[in-house]
Amino acid sequence: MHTLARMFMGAEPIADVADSEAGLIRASLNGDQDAFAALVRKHQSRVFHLAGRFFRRPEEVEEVAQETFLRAWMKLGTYRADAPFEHWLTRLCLRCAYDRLRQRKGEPEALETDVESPAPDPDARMEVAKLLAHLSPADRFVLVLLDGEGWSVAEIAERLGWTRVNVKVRAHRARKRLRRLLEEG
Amino acid sequence: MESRQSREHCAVRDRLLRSEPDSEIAAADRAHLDACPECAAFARRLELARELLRRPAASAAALEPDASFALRVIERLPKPAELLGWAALRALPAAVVLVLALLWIGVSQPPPPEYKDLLSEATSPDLVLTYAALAPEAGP
Repeated sequence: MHTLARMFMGAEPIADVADSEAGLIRASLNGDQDAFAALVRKHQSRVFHLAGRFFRRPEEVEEVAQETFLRAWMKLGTYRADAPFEHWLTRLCLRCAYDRLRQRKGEPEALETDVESPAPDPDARMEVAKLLAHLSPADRFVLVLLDGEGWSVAEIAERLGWTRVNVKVRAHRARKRLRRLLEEG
Repeated sequence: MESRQSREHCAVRDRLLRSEPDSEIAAADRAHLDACPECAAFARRLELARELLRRPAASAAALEPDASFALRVIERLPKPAELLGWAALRALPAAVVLVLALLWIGVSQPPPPEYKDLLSEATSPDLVLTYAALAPEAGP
């Protein structure tokens, strides 16, 4: 199962999580940093996995994870308990990742050179990795969610707070560029 | 003939791009891929691209936070004074708009009726002449 799908389904029974989590959120809202640290520890692993979908360098993964929790602290008052806290945190993390990718627009994306995993054709894999490195960060972001995670347009729109039309336009643009790259390669 | 073939390539590649990852390729498209080496190469590259997109960009070690991560986050939390500063800064545009709105209301409002009468009296020429006639003459 993909990382993000696991994140949305949650690994613990919802009732158990909700009881303790609601208390931690209430305490954090009252300025209790220890309660917030407990919330961080509870969700840090999932946030790291999510950030790691988009960034190769460990410093960047850490930075995005930290930024996610900082935003969570600042905006905790806007969290509505009608949706799981994890979903809200996922949205914050995706937005942090997207903002960071946009900031480094123009900088070349590090190549995926993981040679440990078995590959039927390593040369072809490397060639495609080089092609993917030419995608813009915004295109790559959408393609990771669509093709990497297998999310639908509606799911992306809901989880990022974008409109469906916006996601469709971005997806269309990203696939068009991917197609051009794969045809040229 | 050539343009028909080209349209078919386009249609097959479009369908491949829009298809769900790991979904079955339709029989007609499969037949086209078997007969067309260019489209077959495209399909292989697309499959590899999706496989790469599915994998985390970071190494497995980078995906696990260390024991002090939560502490580092807590250290970066803004202090109450910083929060107050931020709140004041965020309220600044609203305050500017409020002041401008009050100024505009003050300037654009007509004067109250009682002041209006006084003003019109003061500007009446007859009244000015009457005041002039009644005023004591200035002299040495």
